[in-house]
Amino acid sequence: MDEDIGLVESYIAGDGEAVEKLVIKYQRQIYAVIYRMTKNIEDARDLTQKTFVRAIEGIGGFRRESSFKTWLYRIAINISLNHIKQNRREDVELVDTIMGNQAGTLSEIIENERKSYIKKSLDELPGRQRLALILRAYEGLSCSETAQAMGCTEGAVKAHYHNGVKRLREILKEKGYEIKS
Amino acid sequence: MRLSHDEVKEVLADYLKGALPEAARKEVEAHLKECDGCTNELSFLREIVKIDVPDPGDLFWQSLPGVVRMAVKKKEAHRFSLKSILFRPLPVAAAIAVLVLLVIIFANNKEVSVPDPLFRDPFEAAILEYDDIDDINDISGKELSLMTAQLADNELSLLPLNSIEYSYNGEFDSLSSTEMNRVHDALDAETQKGG
Repeated sequence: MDEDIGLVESYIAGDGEAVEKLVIKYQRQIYAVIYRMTKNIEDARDLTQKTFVRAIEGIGGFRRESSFKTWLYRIAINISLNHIKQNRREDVELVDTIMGNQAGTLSEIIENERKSYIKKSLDELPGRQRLALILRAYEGLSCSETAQAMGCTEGAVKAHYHNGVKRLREILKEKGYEIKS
Repeated sequence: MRLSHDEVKEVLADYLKGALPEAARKEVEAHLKECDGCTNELSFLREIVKIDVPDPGDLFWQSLPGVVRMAVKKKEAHRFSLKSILFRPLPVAAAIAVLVLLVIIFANNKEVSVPDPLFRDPFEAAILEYDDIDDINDISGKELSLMTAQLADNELSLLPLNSIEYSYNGEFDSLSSTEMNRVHDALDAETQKGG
């Protein structure tokens, strides 16, 4: 976090390269969370760029009450939610990136199919449950960071996360996929 | 400090990512040995996080930092030029507004005098244009007649158009100098009487 603050201050002081360093550090995480929310590669690319541009433009408003990372996630989530709201459409997902264009071994096909079902089941979760699950389980954010990124309390994050996990298991069970230890 | 069941459930995602400190990690592992519910949930989490995010390509990762930097620079430049466009015409617009106000005020206050074509300055009419006459006694009777006729005309032009006043110049014109003196004496006498 100190490194991030240092880069932010360098940028404010006029060091343009500090922007590039911040982007390189967080671009994969931000892209991943945006993709998981929008489920579209092209949208994820555009919105990732938009997220960083907006963050850098508004860096004067970064009050350092949270870490730069969670602040960045917050911007990414808001941009993604706005995008989803404006573009309500049937999800046209490039499933070929998951399923593969070529038929592989049986285990690969089964694995790909299972992943596809998990993805679709994730999509059926209510928005905040899905988001809490993405941030906690996929992005590895702590409960506190997730709360800051989502703009809610830690208690709310815990509730959304646990309810999301529970609901996801139920949906997969309904589809015939039960994951056991 | 031993973690409760709920506390272990809370940190399973962190445990999965390897984000727990050593002490907490050991606590979680000890609990997992005893709790099927948490073990099942950990397995579940392990499965669902296998879902990969499709890679947008190396070109995207390599170009994104530079693209962001240029985009920010471009927006800042656009903002500055917008500022200069906004601020520059302001003083100009203010100056124009002041000028327009001054013109309006000036136009309302100025009185334009348009000469009345029917107006003749009485002082002008009274001026005798006889530059060649040195002494009035040098005027002959004929010249005097002409002058009085001209005077009568001037007097007529000074009268209002609907005037019904009668001019005596025509009658005086026919009087001799002796008779004129008698008329003057009579008028003086009347004046002294107050008539």
